[in-house]
Amino acid sequence: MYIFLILWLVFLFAYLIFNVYGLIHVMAKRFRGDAVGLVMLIYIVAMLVIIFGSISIISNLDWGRPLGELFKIR
Amino acid sequence: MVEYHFPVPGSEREKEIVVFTRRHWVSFLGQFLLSFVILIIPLVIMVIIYLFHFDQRAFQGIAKNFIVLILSAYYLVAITFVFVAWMSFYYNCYIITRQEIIEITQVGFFGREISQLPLLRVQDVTSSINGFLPTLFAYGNVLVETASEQKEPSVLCAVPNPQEIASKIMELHDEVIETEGRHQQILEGEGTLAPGIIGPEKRAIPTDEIQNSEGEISKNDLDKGGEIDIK
Repeated sequence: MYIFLILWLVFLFAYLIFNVYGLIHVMAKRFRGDAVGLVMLIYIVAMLVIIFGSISIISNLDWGRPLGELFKIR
Repeated sequence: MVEYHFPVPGSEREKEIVVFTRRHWVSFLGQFLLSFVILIIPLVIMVIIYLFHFDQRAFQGIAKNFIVLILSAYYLVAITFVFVAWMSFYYNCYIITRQEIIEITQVGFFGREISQLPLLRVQDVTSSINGFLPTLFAYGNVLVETASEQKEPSVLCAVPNPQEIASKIMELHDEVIETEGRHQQILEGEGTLAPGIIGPEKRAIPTDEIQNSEGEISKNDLDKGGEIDIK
C-alpha cells in the first residue's frame, strides 16, 4: 500500500506547486481593494484543513499491509 | 500588484470609469451548482451507504486507506475548481470609460484576456435579453459592432440591464464624436455625404459661375442623373 501513499505525496507536491504558482499570478493581477484577498485566504485555509486532516488520518492507518488485500473477495 | 494602463477600480484613474459591470451572477449559476454538487457528492454517497445498510466492510481494512487518499485528492481538486469558478465570475468584467470599452476575461487559473475597443470605432450597439432566466433577472447581451470588417463584434455577455448599457455606450460614442469633431468624417465613411464636401457653406456655388455654366452639360451633371435644362 506504500505505493499509493507515495503517489498521494507526489500528487500533493505537484498540487502545492501548482497552487503557489497560480496564487502568485492571481495576486499579481489583482485590482486594488477587490475581494480576492479574502477569498484567497478562505481557499488557503480550506486547502490546509484538507491536507492536515488527511495527514492526521493517514498517520493513524496501517500502511504495511499488502495491496492484494484490497481485491480479496470476502 | 500590476499597474494597469487603463482605468480599473481602485486605481488613480478610477474616476474615468463610467460603467463598471460584471456578468450577472445568475449566468454563473450552473457553475456554482456544479461546484456545490462536486463538494457534497462524497458525503451524499456515504450517508446513503450508512442509511441503507449497504456492505459497510467497504470502509474497513485496507479499503479505508485507499478511500482516505482518494477523498483527500478529490477534495483538493474540488476546492480548486470552486476557486477557479469564483475567479471566472469575479474577474469577467466590463469597464466603459469616456474613450473606450474594456473587456476583461479570466480564463482558468492563469489566463486573463483584456480587450480594448475605442468608442470612436463603434458603429452599432444592440442589446438582447433572451430566455426565461435573463428575462426574470433582467440581464442579457450587448453586441457592439465596429467599423472594422476583419474584427468580430464585441459582445458584453450576460450584463445586468443591457438596454441601459447599450444606450450609455451610444451616448458616450456621440459625445466622443462631438469632442473629436469627427461627425463629418463618419457620415462620409457611411456614404451619407460625398467625400471632399466638408460643410454646407462650402457647398454653395457662386451665382455667376452658375450663369456661365448654363447650357453646358458637365460630366458631374450626367452622373447625377435626372432632368437638366438646356438653353
